[in-house]
Amino acid sequence: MNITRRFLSTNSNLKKLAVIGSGPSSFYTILQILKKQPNNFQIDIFEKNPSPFGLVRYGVAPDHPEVKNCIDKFNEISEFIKTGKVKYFGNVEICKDLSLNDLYKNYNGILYAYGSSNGNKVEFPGSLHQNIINSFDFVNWYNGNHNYKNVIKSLKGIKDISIIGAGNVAIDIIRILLGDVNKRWKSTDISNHALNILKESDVKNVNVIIRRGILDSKFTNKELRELLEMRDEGVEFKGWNKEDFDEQLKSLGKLDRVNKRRIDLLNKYKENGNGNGNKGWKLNYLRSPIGIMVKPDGNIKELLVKVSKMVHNEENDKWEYKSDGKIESIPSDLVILATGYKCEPLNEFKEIGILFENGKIINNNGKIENIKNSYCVGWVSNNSQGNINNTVNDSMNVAETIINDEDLINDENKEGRKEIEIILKNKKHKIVKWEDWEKIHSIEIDQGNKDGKPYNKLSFNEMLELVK
Amino acid sequence: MFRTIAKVGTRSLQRNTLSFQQRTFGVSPITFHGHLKKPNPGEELHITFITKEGDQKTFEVAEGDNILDIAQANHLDMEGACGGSCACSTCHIIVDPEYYDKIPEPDDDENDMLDLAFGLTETSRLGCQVVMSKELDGIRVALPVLTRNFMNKDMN
Ligand SMILES: Cc1cc2nc3c(=O)[nH]c(=O)nc-3n(C[C@H](O)[C@H](O)[C@H](O)COP(=O)(O)OP(=O)(O)OC[C@H]3O[C@@H](n4cnc5c(N)ncnc54)[C@H](O)[C@@H]3O)c2cc1C
Ligand code: FES
Repeated sequence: MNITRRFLSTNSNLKKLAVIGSGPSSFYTILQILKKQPNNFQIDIFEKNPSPFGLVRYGVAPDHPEVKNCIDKFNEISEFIKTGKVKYFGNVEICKDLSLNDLYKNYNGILYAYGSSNGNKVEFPGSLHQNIINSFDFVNWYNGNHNYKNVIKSLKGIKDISIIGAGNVAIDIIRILLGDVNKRWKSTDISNHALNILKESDVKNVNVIIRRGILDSKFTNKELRELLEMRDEGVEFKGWNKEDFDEQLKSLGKLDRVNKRRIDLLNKYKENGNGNGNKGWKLNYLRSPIGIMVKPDGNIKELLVKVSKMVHNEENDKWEYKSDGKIESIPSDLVILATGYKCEPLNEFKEIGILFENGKIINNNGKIENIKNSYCVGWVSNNSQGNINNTVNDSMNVAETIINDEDLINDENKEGRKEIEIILKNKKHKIVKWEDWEKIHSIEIDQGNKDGKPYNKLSFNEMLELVK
Repeated sequence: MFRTIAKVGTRSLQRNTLSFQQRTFGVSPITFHGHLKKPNPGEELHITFITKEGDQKTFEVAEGDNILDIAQANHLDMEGACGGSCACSTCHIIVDPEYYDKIPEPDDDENDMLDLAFGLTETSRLGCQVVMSKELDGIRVALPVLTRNFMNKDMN
């Protein structure tokens, strides 16, 4: 009797926080809130997939297991799950299985951490051709999201591939396409469907098509170096159009750290001569796609690009892009668009008044200004930018914003998960609880180990079948 | 104090002239957790952290411990997201210039990750790559503080 009463009284003092999404920004923010204020919050995580961890699972490349070490930290949530401070609602999509209205009625605060849901598109004549694939789909394909299993059915007979855009995702994709299957991929968590297709791949040349210049490159030196070092795996760096930047680089003189290191790196690998591989990749700066040439059988033959050049503007002493008037054609059997991931507004935003512009929720230090007790963190708050490091810092700041928000602290008592569980039960909706996920993942590990892999990702349907 | 460091940004790398103010604080009793070794009596090395709050904390540690492990074992705010694999830069520290040159130079991998650290200074290092040695006895390192606005600027 006593225990029940005590529970009720503390429970009513707890601030109920709903978090939409279970990627790194969600976990880092929640763990930080609970570290700072272990006794003031009850937190529920809503994740549309049965499995947690967002892009750490379906984005980060299979040969970067060290980046995925952050999952060890996320698993610290188990302690809070046991005490009921946190509950995981996997397979619950907000704005589909539950409305934002349901959340605002039952929670004191809402944290939007739902990341990106698509890839940016580049439009040009022919860009809807079936052999032009978005990096978002391609990444999900090799990272074992079975909804994307059919994105690539075969790479037999595919020799030349063009990738449009040059961020780290483009570099991940080059490693996938050219890396040695046995040495690099076989023992990773890559999907078995991708592994089988890569084993029979004929891909030889990857051309990266980059609209802007070398000094605006998006990829990091770490990823660049990793790719250059694949020379030892028989993957050759076939160069970059250095001559187009000679004048600019000479006139600028001293460069910032990152660009200086980038150019040194490119020069070093170019000057050290070619490896003996016959597979290779090339960086084509100052090129943007304007169309495709198609073979009689309907497949793509070439990607057409228009060329620009760097011109010095005497008036403002800046280097600017100017059309060169030239058009080039680049042999391409397949084209991959890798111009970034994109966040989209949830469909109830208009109704409840949340402003979404330029790929992010409008916010001030994570606080959504025009609507009370609402916050955002991670990619949805910053237009899909940055790596785990950014996400960690962002999460620390947003956790601080949340625990110091007077409106939230003084908000009336709300029911939290109690009401939500009733709604989902009435809909007969299947919830994947944290324990269910742990069971799913242990099966993934068992299955993967049989193949000499750390784990094999199950499809969402397979996961749901395992849940009672 | 560290907000000023942060403003240095990646563009203008200046030798940071922070005042690693000399104040006297007690040395914490030695606690051993996780990966840390117990120093042999008489061979204790000392490290002082300047936390984001501006507090100084000094610990006695053994040769061979890295700064990430030391920070985490003592519950300081250092994330170490990649578990010390030099793949995240969440263990960024700013080293007292007096000690910076005594640390073996960063290798390419560490430099690549330092590229991505916020508020990089000329004496920045990654905690997981700096290993305690006799030469580093008495080293002082600061944990950088960043505001969100600063991060956004840095990212663009
Ligand atoms: C291809 C790729 C490779 C990368 N590699 C690296 C790397 O090597 N190193 C590095 O540091 N960073 C890397 N990153 C960046 C890193 O993944 C991001 O910084 C990080 O994942 C952002 O976290 P987030 O929580 O904001 O979003 P996400 O990780 O996208 O998480 C969002 C979560 O919300 C869920 N969700 C979406 N909509 C809803 C809804 N309506 N209801 C409920 N749930 C929803 C999603 O399913 C997802 O689980 C990479 C990114 C990509 C795309
Ligand atoms: S812990 Fe990740 S780089 Fe040091």
